[in-house]
Amino acid sequence: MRTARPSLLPLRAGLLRVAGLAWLVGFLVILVGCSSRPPPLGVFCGAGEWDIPPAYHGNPWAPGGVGAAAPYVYEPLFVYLASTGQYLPRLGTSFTESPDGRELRVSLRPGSAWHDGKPLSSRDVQCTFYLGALRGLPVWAYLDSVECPDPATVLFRFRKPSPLGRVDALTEPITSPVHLFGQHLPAILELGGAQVAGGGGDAQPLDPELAARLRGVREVLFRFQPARPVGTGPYRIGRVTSAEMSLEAFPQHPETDRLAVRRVRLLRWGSNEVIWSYLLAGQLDAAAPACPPDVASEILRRRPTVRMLTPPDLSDLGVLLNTRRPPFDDLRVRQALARLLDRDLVRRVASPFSETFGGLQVGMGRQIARRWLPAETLASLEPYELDPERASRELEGAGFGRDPQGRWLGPEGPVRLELLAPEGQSDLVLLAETVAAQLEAFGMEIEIRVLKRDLYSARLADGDFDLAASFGGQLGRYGDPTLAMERFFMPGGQLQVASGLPGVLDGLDVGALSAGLRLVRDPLAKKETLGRLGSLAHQELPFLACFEKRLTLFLNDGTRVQGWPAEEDPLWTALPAGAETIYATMLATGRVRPVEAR
Amino acid sequence: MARRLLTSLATIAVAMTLTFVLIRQMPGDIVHQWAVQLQMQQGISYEQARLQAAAMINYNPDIGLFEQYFSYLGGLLTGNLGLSLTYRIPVSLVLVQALPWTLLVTTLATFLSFVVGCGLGLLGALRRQSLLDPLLTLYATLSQALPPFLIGLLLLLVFGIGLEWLPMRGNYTPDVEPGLNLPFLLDVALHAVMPVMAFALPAMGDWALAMKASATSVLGEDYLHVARARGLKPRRILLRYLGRNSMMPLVPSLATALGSALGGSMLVEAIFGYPGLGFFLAQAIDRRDYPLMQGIFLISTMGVVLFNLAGELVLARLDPRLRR
Amino acid sequence: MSALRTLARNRRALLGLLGLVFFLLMALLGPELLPLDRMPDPDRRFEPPSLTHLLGTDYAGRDTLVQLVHGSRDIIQISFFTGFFAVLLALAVGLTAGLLGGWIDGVLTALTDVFLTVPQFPVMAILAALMRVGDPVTFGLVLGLWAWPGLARSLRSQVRALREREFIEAARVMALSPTWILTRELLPNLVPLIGVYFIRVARDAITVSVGIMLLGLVPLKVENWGMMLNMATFQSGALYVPRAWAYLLSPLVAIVAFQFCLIQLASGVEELVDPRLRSKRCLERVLPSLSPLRYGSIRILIQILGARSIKWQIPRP
Repeated sequence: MRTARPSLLPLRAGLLRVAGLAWLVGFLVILVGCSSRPPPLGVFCGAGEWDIPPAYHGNPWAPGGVGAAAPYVYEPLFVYLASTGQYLPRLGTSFTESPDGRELRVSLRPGSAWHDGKPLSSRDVQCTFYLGALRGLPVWAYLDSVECPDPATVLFRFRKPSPLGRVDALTEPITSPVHLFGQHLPAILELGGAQVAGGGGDAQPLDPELAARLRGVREVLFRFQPARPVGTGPYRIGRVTSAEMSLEAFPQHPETDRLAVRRVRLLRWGSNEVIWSYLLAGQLDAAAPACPPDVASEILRRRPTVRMLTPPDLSDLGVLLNTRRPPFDDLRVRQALARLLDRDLVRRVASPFSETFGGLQVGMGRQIARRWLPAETLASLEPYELDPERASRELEGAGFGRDPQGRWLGPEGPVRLELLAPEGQSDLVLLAETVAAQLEAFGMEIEIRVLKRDLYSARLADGDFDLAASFGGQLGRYGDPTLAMERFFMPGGQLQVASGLPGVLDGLDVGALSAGLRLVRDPLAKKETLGRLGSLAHQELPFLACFEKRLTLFLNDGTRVQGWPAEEDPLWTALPAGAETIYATMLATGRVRPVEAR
Repeated sequence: MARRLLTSLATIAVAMTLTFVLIRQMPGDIVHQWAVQLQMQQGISYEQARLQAAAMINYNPDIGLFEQYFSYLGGLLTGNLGLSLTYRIPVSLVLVQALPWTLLVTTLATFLSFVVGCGLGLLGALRRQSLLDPLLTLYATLSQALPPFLIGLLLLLVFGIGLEWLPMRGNYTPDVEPGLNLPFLLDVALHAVMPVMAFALPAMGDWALAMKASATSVLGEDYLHVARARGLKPRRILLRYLGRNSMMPLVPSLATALGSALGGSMLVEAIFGYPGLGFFLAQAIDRRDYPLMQGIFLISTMGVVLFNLAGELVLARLDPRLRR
Repeated sequence: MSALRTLARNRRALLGLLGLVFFLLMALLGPELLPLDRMPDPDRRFEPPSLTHLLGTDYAGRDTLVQLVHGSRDIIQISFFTGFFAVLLALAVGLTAGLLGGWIDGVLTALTDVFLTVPQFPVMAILAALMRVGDPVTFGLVLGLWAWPGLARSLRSQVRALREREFIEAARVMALSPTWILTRELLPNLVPLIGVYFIRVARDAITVSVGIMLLGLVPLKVENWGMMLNMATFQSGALYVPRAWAYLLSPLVAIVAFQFCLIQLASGVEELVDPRLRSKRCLERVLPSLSPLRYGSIRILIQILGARSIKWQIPRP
């Protein structure tokens, strides 16, 4: 009667004991591995983003390639400091520009070699730029060709000379040696770099056959996936895992003697909270995440060797208004909003380390405006100051009224607004909350929707919103308000599309004006154009800037490495262009040194 | 049996087709996602980043849905799951490399939580009126109510930052040589402790409560008393009658849990930077990498359906009454 | 009524009931008594509990307790509606499949599997683009749509197991009506399972509601306990700031307490429904404790008094 039947789910009587044992074993493993060693002295620990194995490879043009290692493994010709206009030599030693700006001649640093041993020549620079055309490199909007008069000289020929174009050409990382990438060149050289890159401005769409052919070339290029990137930089990649990357010094680098820190470890960024946790654990030496003040003080408290700098990010954050539909289609309502929002409160909640934006809504911060806009223009504009009574009067003038409970009523009923914010950007979400709270207190009904970034931008592009928490002017790596004005006014510019501002304002074709800004070389003409565009931005108010963003840069000085420059050093002003490039430059020039063992 | 297998396959097919259509209807702008990333990495303007992103995607968006579907099916038959749009490597390569890590963590965690949870639940059912019961309920409630990402973050806080006992993220350090050697295996084990715990701790409460409920209803059965009256040893009653009978309703849940474990957990893997299927899925969804999404969904669908089938079969074997 | 008296005698169930009543009162009356002020006050960030702010303040200086109270309304509505719809759908599908068998069973199981396997996120993203959900009932329906398959599966297998039990056959032989069989025999045995799932669904609803809020399907409500938790852990870094313990723990404790009450009440209802699980004292008068084991004694509970059905079961070895 009792046939032996194997019990599939053994419930031993000592079940609890088994469970207890499992826990014990678990803790033993933990104790055994009690040595989760932090990286040793003399290793620089940075952070970055990359596509993890098995997707990781060494082709910088294909998706999944190189990632955070790029600034350490590759070098540009020069590093540009926007605040001073200086060019720091890396692969290039000097350059000369012809008076009409159509020719740019660069001399290369002697002794440079690729990580596989082959020497660097100007043909490699040429190869990089032409392959970049496949990728739509912005510099091809201005370039006509890149030539190699001799192996140590590169000649850029511009068909549209532009100060921005010069920066682009001189700061492009040189990534593609001819001996590895040369086979992809012929088709591009045949068609011409500018055509391949799509013009980028005078965008002439390629005919479908040509486009298909280029797609084919791209696919072949993408399929080239060496295990590791080959560059000319002072470091070489060792191993890559899903959370860490290790790099070692490249001994044949001509300036390797200046390189004091011989090993680098990069931790994968993930999200800002990840970086906070690494900083709290003392495992990072330089990082600039967005960081609330309490977390920052906690980091500084726990890690006495860490100090925090707040360099400007050259961007501002605020509220984007949809001028296509009520109530913000009425300029008076927009101006009323500018007068009723307490921008300082927004800054204190969303980004306390930043600077409150002033009353001149010209699309760029105070100091930048003083530098780039004519003084008379600035003086002629009436600043928007906090003045709720005046705001109420303006609203009433626009046809709105208040009901007995204090709610605002428009011609179509009570005012109901929808405010969008992108997920994952805590300063924008906090900005949205503060703006909504103020509007609610003022008597308007408002709803916040936090959307994933692609949904957010889709709704912005469709014009399906009332207000949106957004970046305003961003000066990027050029430190030049041209980018900001393009965002505001150029057809296709992010803010232009979302806010719905027309292309002609006050009789001025702002679309064309902003699109042509890049090519203006005369500083006075540029100033004048910027002045006109800036004052239009101030008048029409498609965007209400609340604060100028400052980065929170954490530097660990004295745990593993030391020697970080002080806050006033102009190098830090180039941070918005790419923080890792700045760290790499400081390492390469030997400013940052290892901490000596005691 | 054959009929059940057929229906399972049919379910997989229907689910796959639905998924295929659904994910391509997802709103959102994939070029924007890439552009934002590029913008962050290179400090260029958004418009320039968009141009580059469009070039990187490099596929012809004009192919119709049906064409895409049939070419996908054709590829499936030859074992070709397509090329990942974001990584330009075969989807099967990504799956083959990511699956072992997910399996390592989730199966370990599921079994751990099942065994320990059922033990606790059984104990709770037996000691209904003692002090143990509310304590168990409290633990079960706590571990259930805490969202899994929170437990993961707390573990990180305590063991990674505070005590510095465990490595904070990743599956192994770059210092060790991957392969069948002791330092590597120890390293992997160390890195796996926190993800496993983050999965297992919340699930334990679930199993404990379910087991307690099930055991409670079995405890009311007369046959237990009859067995005792027949002179069977209490331990045998506990294991063979109480244990087995109260576990039976849980077997389908275990099967479902194991099946869905194949999909990994996007949130926990993201917190620990663990390169399992969940991690890649989160990336794929973000970047609208349809072939990769499809591949991962295929695995998780197959996992769920096949494990459910297996669960049913096991149940049928265990429970003689269902054999009719 | 004997039901309420039984419930009252069970201390834990009473505790659970009282707790739930407390939450209900908090949801109904609280928002009227404590007005919500969303205006941030950044100088008073992360204040520890004090007389003016009983649970301290959040990352923007707003009172945590007030947010908690206002959030309770949303949470209770979402949890209950989701649980309700999930259980309703699961019962409908699971019972039908389990009882009727045959091809209907096959079709319904396939449907359950499809719902189990089709990924949630893409559908939610599509819904987010197509509709804007305003009221909790629709919210509960949307969430319930994803929660029912798990329960349906378990219900189905449980029903199939019970169907073969002799007491059902005895009831059929006794010519009891199918409704009687369903409600008096079948359902009571399913209640524990449903109870466990209801609680799980209610808990998951809180987490999923946060995900849905982040998709823009529903407007952002910072006072939603799940959202509070999300803000505390991810956005504001309260996890890393020791001063912010009150802000981090408040939504956590609230969620846990809510769950706890549900669980206690559920176990009370189990005992109500299955009389054999009631007082052990009555039992010990009838049968003395059996031989102790190494880790304590097994008390085998039989309730002959009040048994509503005659069950004989001789298990096969």
